[in-house]
Amino acid sequence: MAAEICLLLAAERSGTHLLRSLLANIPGVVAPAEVCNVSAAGARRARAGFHRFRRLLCEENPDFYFPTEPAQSEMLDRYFTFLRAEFPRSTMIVVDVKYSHVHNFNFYWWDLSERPYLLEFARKRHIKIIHLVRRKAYRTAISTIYASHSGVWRARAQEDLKDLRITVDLRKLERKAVRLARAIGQFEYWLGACPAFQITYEELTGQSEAELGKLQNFLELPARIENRPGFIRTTPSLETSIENFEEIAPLIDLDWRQLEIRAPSQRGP
Amino acid sequence: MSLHDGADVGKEAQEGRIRADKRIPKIENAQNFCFVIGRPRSGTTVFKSMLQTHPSVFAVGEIFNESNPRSYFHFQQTLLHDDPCAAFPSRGIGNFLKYLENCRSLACKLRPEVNVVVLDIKYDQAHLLCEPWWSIAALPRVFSLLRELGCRIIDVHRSDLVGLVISNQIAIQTKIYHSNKLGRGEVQDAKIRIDPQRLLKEVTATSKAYERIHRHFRDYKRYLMVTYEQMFDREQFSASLLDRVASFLGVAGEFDPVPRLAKLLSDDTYAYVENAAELRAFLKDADDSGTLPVPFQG
Repeated sequence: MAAEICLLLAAERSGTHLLRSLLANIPGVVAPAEVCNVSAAGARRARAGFHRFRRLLCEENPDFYFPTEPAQSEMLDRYFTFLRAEFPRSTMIVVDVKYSHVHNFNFYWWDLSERPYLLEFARKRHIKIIHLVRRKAYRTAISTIYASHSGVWRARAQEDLKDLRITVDLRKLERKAVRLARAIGQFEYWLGACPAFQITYEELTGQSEAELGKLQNFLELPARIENRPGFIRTTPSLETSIENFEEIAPLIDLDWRQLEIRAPSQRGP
Repeated sequence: MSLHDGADVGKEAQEGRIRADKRIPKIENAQNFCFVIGRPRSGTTVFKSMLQTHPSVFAVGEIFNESNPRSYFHFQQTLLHDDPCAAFPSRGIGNFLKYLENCRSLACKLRPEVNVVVLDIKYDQAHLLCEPWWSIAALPRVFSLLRELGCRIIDVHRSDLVGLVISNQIAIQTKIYHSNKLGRGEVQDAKIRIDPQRLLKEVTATSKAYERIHRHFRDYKRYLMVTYEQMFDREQFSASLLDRVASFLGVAGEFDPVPRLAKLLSDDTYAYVENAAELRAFLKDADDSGTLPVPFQG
C-alpha cells in the first residue's frame, strides 16, 4: 500500500526537528528534513528535496516551468509519488514545509489573502496537516537571531552547541515577532478548512503525553509517539545569553495571540 | 538620455539605502525601468498601450504572463538550458536582474531611440519572483527589490472596486478580457451571476492590497499612483494625466491621447449581473454594517 503523505507546517524555529524526530521513532514513519530548504548544507542533493525534484522534472518536461494550476497540481502529485518511491518501505511520509516556503507551490494567480495552493491541494486530496505552533513568538524570533549568530541551527548533543552572548535589537525583534504572529494567525485561519491538527512547541517540550496521544490518533499511527527527542535545544538560557535581557524580559513569554491584539493596525494579510 | 547613457544610479543607491546584501547586485540606470503594477481589470492594459505610443517608450508586456513570449518564464527557460541550477529559488533575484538587462538589450536592439522600458506586473502574480524564504505576512519580494534597485513604479488603482471585481468575473467567465477580442460592431452583452460573499471578499482583498502596496511605496520618489477614474476626459486620456506621466518618466509630452482600446463594458457594471438586485441589497447591508471597505454606490 502506498505510503500516506502528511504535511508538517510551521514557522522556522518552532520545533519541527524535534517533532520529526519523535515521529520518526515510529516504525514505518519517515520524516525527511524540510523539503524546500535550499540554504541548508547538502540540501540541493537531499533525497526528498523539492527543488531538486522540480529541476529534474522541468528538465524532463519544460512545461512544468510555467506555473499553471494544472502544472502545479500534477507536479505535486508527481512529487509525492517520487517521495513514495524514495522511501519504499515507509507507511507514512511527513513532509516538512515551512510557512516561508509555501509560495513555491502557488500557481500564476494568487491573491495574498487566499489560501496558498499547497493547502488547497492538501484539502482536495485529504492530506493530513500537522500545524506546529510555538506560542511564545518572541522566543521563536530570539531563537532565529541566536542561531544566525552562532551558526548552530540544530544540535543532537551538547558538544554541537556554541555559547554566545548577543545583544538583541528590540525594534527588529518586535517586528519579527509581530510578523510571525500575523503569519501564525493567517495560517490558522487558512487551515480551518483543512484536515489539520494543531500542536504547540510548548506542549511538545512540556512532556505532554496527552497531546502526543491526540496526535497519534489524528495520524492514526499504530504505535505511541514516544517522548524520545533526537535533538536538543540550541538556544541557551536567555538570561545568560542576551546582553540586554532586562529590556526584552517583559516580552519573551507573550503568546502570539497577544501580539496580534497589540498590533491591530498590522493585522490581516 | 539613452538606456545606457551615464552612470546615474537610483536615488536610493546614492543615499546608501540599498540593502547591504551582497547577493543583490545593482543594476545600472534602474530608473529607466518603469513597472506598471495593479490588480487585474484596473486599466493597466489601456494605460500601458498609451505609454507605448511614446517614441521613447518600449513595453515588454506582462512579465509573469505565460502567453507573453517575452515573459520572465520564457527567459528563465533559456537560462535553464545552460545552467539547470538556475531553477533554485536562491538564484531568483539574480535571474530577474539578468532578465531586466535582457529586456533593455531587446529594447535597444529593436528601438535604439528608446529610453524607458515598461514592464507590467499584476499584484496577484508578484509572488512568482521567489526567494528561498518569504514571510507570508510580508509583501512579495519583488516590491522591495524594485525600490532597492531604484526602478520607477506606476501603481494603477481603480476606485470602483465593485466594478473591478464584476468586470473581472465577466472576463473570466466569457474569456474576453479586452474589446479587441470582440468582432466589429459587437458589444459585450454577457449576463453573469455573482456570488455576493465572494464579491465582498475580493473587494476587501483588493482594498487591502491597495493599502499595503501604497504604504510600501508612498515615500518613494519614483512612485506614481494613478486611478482608472482619472485617466479619461471626454473619451481621451486626460491632458493632466499625460503631463504627470511624462514628467514622472522624464520624457517629452508626446503621448497619443486617443485610447488604443475601447471600453469593454459600460460604466454601469450591474447591468451585466443577473442577480443585480440581490447584489445591491447585500452590498448596502455590508456598507451599513461597516464590512464593505468602500462606500456603497448602488
